[in-house]
Amino acid sequence: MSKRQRKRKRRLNWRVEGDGPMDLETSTELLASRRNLIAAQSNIDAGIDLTVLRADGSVIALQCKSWEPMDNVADEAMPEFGCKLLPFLLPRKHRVAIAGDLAEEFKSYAAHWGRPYAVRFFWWEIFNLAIRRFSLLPIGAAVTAWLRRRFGW
Amino acid sequence: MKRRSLGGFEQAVLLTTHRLGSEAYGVPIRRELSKRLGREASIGAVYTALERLEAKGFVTSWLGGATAQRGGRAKRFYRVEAPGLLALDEARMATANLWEGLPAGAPA
Repeated sequence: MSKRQRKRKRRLNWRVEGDGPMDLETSTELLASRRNLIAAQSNIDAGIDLTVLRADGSVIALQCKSWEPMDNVADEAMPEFGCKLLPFLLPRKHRVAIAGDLAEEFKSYAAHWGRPYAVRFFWWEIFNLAIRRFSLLPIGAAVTAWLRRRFGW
Repeated sequence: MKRRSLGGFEQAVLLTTHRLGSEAYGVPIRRELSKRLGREASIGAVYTALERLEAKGFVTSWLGGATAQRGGRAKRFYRVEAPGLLALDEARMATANLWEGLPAGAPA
């Protein structure tokens, strides 16, 4: 397996909540079919978390009770740097839920208003979360310190 | 027992959660709030209010199933409990009392 393939495979590994990392058998197939992927849908009620329909007509069904992307895996749609900041900005209890809400809203905004609007929304939310997490004062102090270093103020 | 107060935004979030019923989680709550209040509420603000409401015992939450649309991340659903309904009722009565005897709408 090439370095590039290994890197992409890691991005497609999923983790069962509470059970540690779990490499689904289908992750390699998902990787291989990424470019041919034409539809993916979830049907929790039927016990199928994700059904992937490939261009060649084959179907992959992921059955996993509860799964989430690994912490170091950034959502492809949202800005990568912002996704890396999220674990530091969110309280542990709401980490998965808020990150999911952000992803859902980001996709919705991107579909309706375009990606630049969605990116602005995303960074505005990140800014708001940072203010709530650390309060305004340390952020202001950090920005001031950076400006002083950068411009000699 | 000390009565737990309900802030303005908390009241709006609690009412919206009650209105949404079994579909109450972050995104629909935020959208409904934006639609009814006529201004955008940030996700952080909504969750801060929900966390306070949960600490007061007005709502309970649980993690739902993960969906592909959210990158495999689970939703946290909220439900208004009896103390929350009581607090909403008290807030409505308090507002009605304040309005009593005054003409509805802005003064001419």
